[in-house]
Amino acid sequence: MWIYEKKLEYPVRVYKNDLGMAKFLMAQYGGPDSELSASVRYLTQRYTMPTDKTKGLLTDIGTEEMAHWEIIATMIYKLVKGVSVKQLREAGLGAHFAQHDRAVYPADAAGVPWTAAYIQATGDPITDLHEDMAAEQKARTTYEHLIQLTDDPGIKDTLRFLREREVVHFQRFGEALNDIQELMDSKKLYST
Amino acid sequence: MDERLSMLKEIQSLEFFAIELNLFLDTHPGDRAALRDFYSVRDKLLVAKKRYEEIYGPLMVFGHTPVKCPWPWIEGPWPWEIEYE
Amino acid sequence: MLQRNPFLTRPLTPGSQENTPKEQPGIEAAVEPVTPDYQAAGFYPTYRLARAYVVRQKYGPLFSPAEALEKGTIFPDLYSPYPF
Repeated sequence: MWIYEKKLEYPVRVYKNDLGMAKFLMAQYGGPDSELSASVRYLTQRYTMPTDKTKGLLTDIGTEEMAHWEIIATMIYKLVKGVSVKQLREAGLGAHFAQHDRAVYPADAAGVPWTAAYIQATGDPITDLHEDMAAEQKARTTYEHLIQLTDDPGIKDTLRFLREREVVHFQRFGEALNDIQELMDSKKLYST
Repeated sequence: MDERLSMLKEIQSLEFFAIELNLFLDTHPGDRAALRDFYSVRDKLLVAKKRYEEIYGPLMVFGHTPVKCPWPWIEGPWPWEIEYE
Repeated sequence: MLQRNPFLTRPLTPGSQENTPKEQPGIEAAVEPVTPDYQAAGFYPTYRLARAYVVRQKYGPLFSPAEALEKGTIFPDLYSPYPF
C-alpha cells in the first residue's frame, strides 16, 4: 500500500510566472514519456516479475516517480499561480482554462489526456525491462529539451535533478536486466 | 520560515540519501558497505524528522507519527505551496 | 506446457552440453550437435549474442547529503552533468 509523505523530494523554486513553460512541462506531467507514465508502468509491471530484486526495484522506482509527478505538478502550479485569465488566454491556455481553470489536469502539452496506451506490461520480464530502460532515456532527453527551454534558475535546477534521476534509474534497470538474464540462463526449460 | 525551511532541507537531503541507497541495495542486496551507510543515514534521518515534527506537525499519517488536537495533519502549507529558498 | 528455453542462444563454451534435454524425461526434442558460438566467444567470452548488458555498479565514495540532493545522485560514478 502507499503512505504519503507531506514533503517534496526536492525543494522546487520558481522565480517568476512563465505560461509557455507551464505548457511545455505538461509533457512530463501527462504526456507519453511523463513521470505519470513511468510510475504507472513500473507499478503495473512489478506484479509479474519473477525475482525479488525486480519486484522491489520496480515498486521503489515506481513510487519515486510518483514523487517526481508531484514535483512537476508543483512547478506547473507555481508557474501559473496569480496569473489573470486574460494572460492565460493570450498564452494559448484558454482552452485549458475553459475546462480546468488552473487545475493541473493530467494531459500532455497539446491537451491530449493521459492514457494507459502510453504504457505496456507484456508479462515478459526481459521485454518489460527494455521498455523501462527506453522510458528512462526518453524522459532524460525530454528533460534536456526542457532545460534548454527555460532560463529560470529554480526550474533549471529542478529539471537537472529530475534528469539525473533518469540516468540513475536506467543504471538500476540495467542491473535488474542482467539479473533476469542470469536467471534465464540457469533455467534450461521454462513453463508457460 | 527560514528555520523551518532549513530543517526541511536537511530532511530532504538525508531522505534522498536513503532513497538512493535503497535503490542500490535493491540490485545489490548483499553489499555490506551500502547497508552500513543506510543504517547510519537512517539514524540521522529519524532524529531530524522527530525534531521537525515536534514543532511543525506530522510528515506522515496513517499512524506513523504522534499528533495532537486540533488535528495537525491537514494544516498548511502543503508541499506545493511552500516557497523554498 | 514445457518448451525449450528460447533465451538460450548457443552457449559460448565449445563442447558444452547445456542444450541437450536428456535429463528431462518425456520431452521430445531433436538432439543437435552443440557448436560453439565463435563470434561471441572471440570478442565477448562471458556474454551471449542478442542480449543487452549494463555494467554493474560497484559501491564507492559518495557525495555529502547536501551535495547529493543538488546533483541528483549520491554516486560520483553516476553523475552526468548537463551543461546547458
